[in-house]
Amino acid sequence: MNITGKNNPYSDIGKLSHINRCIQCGTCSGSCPLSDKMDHAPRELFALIREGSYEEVLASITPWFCVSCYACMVRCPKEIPVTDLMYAFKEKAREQGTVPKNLNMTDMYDAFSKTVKQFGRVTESFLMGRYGMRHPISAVKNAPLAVKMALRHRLELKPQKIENPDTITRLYELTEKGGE
Amino acid sequence: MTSQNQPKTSIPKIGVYVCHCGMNIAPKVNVEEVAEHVKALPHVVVARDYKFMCSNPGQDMIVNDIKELGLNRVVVASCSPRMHEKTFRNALRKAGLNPYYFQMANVREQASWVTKDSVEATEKAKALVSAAVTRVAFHQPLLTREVKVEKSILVVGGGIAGMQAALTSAQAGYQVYLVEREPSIGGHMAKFDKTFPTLDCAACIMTPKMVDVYQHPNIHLFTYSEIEKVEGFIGNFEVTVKMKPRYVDMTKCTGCGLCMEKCPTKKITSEFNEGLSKRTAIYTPFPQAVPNVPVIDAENCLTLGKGKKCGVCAKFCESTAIDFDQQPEFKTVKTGAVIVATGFKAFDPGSIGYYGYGRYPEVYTSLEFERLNNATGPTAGKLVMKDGRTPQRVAIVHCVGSRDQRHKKYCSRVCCMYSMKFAHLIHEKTGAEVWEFYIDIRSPGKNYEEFYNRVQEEGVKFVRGRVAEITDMTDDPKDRGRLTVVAENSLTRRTLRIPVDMVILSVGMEPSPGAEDLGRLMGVSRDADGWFNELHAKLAPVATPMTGVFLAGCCQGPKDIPDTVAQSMGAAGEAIALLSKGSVTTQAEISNIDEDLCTGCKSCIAVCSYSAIGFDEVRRIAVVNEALCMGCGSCSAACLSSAASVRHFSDKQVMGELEMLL
Repeated sequence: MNITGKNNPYSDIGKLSHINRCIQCGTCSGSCPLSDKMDHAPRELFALIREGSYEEVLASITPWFCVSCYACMVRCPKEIPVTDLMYAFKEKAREQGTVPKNLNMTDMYDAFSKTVKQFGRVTESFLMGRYGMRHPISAVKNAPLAVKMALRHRLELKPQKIENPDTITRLYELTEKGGE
Repeated sequence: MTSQNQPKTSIPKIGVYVCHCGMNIAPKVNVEEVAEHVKALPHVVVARDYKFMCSNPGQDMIVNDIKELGLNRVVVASCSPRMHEKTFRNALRKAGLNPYYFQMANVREQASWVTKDSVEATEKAKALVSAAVTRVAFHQPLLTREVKVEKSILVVGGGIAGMQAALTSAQAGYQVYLVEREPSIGGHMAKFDKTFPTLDCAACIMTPKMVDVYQHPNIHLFTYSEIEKVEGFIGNFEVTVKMKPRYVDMTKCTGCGLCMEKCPTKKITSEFNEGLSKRTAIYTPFPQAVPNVPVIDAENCLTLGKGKKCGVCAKFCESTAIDFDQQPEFKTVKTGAVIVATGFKAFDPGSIGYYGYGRYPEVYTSLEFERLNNATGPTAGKLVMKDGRTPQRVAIVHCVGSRDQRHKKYCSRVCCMYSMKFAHLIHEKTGAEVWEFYIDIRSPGKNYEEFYNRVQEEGVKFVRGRVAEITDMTDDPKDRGRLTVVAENSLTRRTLRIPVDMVILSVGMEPSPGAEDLGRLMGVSRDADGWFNELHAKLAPVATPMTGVFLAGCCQGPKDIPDTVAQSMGAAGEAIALLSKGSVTTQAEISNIDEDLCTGCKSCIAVCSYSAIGFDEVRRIAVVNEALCMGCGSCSAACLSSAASVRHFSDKQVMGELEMLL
């Protein structure tokens, strides 16, 4: 199946055609600080796509471990937008409901996103509070650290807001509707 | 040429031949319909279609029709004139017709290959053929002429390519002028230690050639010289060479070297040793330099550059060869052909920040390593790090700057092989562990794959993965001071962090910095990467679109020494083939200035790039020198009184063609 072919049901994944240029040199995987935590190296995802194994890519934990450091993208000799593709894979996985289970970080993504949607910026206590509701054990583990931070005035308990949080909320609504 | 002339007033009798070109034209373009269509045009006597017009039966068809039907004009609708115009013109000549009574319509590249719809393709073919028919009716018989050529060859660049081209040409008895920009010939190859795959010592096979070039009676050597101006045309170029001042009289210098010993300015970075050693202000680039005459680096010389009263070299020179007042000299040579052999420049890896070149002292380029490993190099061939220790582990990084869209998108062809040569030499000299980081091993050449296998057998560790980073951050405290090479082994899918003592960056090639200016002087175009364009990628790899100018070596694209030498001999062979007859046939499509219409305004003289138009002071009109004219048409466009026109491109012919196309 051709990556850019009309009959490819996954051709709407952003910037997918760039993968055609990949020479499998491994610069992306070698540059990736979290490559060892991933089930597939970034390079492998591109090889999987070329053989048509989209389901495997979209169920992979690799994109979710991407920390957007952009080292791969800066170094890729074929100028493949690796980080952008990781976002596109996450988006597609979410859309079709193949986000890997038991990944704590997806709840972190949600907690982060909701906090920003509500206040326009992140307040640690709210972020961790939201995350802790899903992961009570982790919340208990983190509690001593929170206390330490609070004692040193490093933990804001009141929500930090931007001037017009509703502008951010509107932006969210627009993008959720599928706008750019 | 001796073709008979047809009277100018002959009534046109045109034959049209539409070619199927196998399956190239016929299924897309309805060839029968095209032939039928043109039959209705004025003066068309016969219109046929045939499977392969260029074949012998196809050509015979034209010859027979000319003889039997009395045709005096021929149109063939087939491929590009670049492909077969000559073929069909020869057919006309064979039938006793002036070959310029022929016109070709390109219905392959311009119709069948580029049009999706069959009906549209057929319509376009009809228009193209009709245009050719209308044009050919206005054709005039033209004559070509023989022009004497200068039996000499100018070679630009004195590396292995230029030297070989010069030697081959000189051996054939031609006078050769070899122009080299640097103080010595030898080029990059003179810097190398061993050469793959046979591991011959570069100096051992190079220096005898350099001496041959120097001593050959037919080769005139211009070192420390550049091309200043190029005039003329195939067979009769006039090239002005600028000889930069050496400040040393070449006729007096004995090459004793005392001046270099005594020169007080000793701390100048040596270009030849890639910055790894120092040289004096008066210097020869390397001990085996040819000619063995030093030059003074005016910028760094105390007397010339700093205006101080030094003159130590002059005081010690027993043959009074030092001449601080030398000026650039210009010499014009006449030459029949030019061979361009300007070579390459190694890619500068400083722009790839994550490889740390220039930041970490133990990261070397391949050329630096060649010097480091060379018996005449800064360490006399002892393979040591900057602190004097022998490296225990060395990493070689392939594809630095090559196959990289941010730098050079092409493969530089030689890096895999020389990297493996390095691995062998390091292993042999120091016993160090060598790691090769590659994307793909490219070893297509005679005995190249065998060399790869040999290096594998020697225990060199090959890792398939492009190096992502070179850093001085080490994982283990006991490795402090070493470098860490980070790369994914894409075959095991593991990220490796290898502590090493030395890193060699196998840098690619880019065109020589002077290539752009030279290309402009010579009229030779360059591709998007800056390499000179050959006339045809497969069938004319050493010729250029500028007739009489040939290419040798890396100036045309990256290549190794065997390919360079082969191409240089090829270029010399082409140049010799061109000049050996003693004359060349000039084209017939040249400018013609109507004496009655010319007003003597001299507009054409000003625009002519070939200095082909002179002025007759008695008749006060412009006159074309037919030997110099290239038929570019500038004069025709500039002429205010429509006196100047290019033969075979008259207004009638061009307008007639256009009318049918629009």
